[in-house]
Amino acid sequence: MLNSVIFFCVAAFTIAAAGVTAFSHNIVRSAFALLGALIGVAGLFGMMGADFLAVVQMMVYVGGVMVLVLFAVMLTHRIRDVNISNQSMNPAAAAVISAATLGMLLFGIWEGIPSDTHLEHESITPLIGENLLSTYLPAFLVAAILLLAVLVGAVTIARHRTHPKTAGTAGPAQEERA
Amino acid sequence: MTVQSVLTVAAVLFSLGLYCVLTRKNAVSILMGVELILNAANLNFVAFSNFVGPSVAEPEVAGHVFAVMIIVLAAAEAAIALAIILAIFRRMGTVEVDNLNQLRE
Repeated sequence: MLNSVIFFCVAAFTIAAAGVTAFSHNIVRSAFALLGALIGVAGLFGMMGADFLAVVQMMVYVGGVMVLVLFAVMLTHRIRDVNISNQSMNPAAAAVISAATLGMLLFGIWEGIPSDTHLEHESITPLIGENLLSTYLPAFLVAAILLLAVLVGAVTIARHRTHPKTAGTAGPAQEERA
Repeated sequence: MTVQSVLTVAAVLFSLGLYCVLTRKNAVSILMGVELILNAANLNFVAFSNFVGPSVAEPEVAGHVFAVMIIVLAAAEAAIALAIILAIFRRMGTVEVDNLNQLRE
């Protein structure tokens, strides 16, 4: 009973935060609401017995990706136009498409799956560790190489190059940096 | 807390992320929508992984490993995408995807 109440609260928090992310007109508010949604998902992981995933979610998403997103928001906007910085286009058509998708998903979920399945589990963190280093070792190694490539690639792409030829024509950001 | 309740939350998250991706003009906001969609997929993986496990003593772990891999890919994708967005902003002075309609300045 208590478990259901906690689940309902966490789920409502997650959905509310995701809703603010999707509908807010202020991009900074949107970014912080996404932070809330990610924390809520981490809570749901924890409630399903996936403590390892909950911790990874907190470290990678909340600690890493959100900092990146906030940096990108702050670096690509001038403070004065933050309030109009998150315009939507064709909201009606997009709402119809999203609602139709949601309807189909909910129909499939509530018609196709037995309803009395409970999900609480023992922690399976040791099993994840064993499997990552045995069955899923190739994927683990490929992920390591991918992360190295991403590290180098992101630095290369975002690096500040000086182009004397195009310095005068590259928009307002150029003057601000100087 | 049944498998359906978790899947319902994931479906709502997915729809909100889809709406975000479809409507936003700002590239960073579109990326936020993609993150919501990836999180919905992760919730589904974990829910189904627990759902198909043969017993509590011998749980299924594939979905959890998949979710870890998705988190790694999402982090990589976010890093590259934000680097590209920064580079675009430097060159074009905007990150509104409507205005980014040329391959060179």
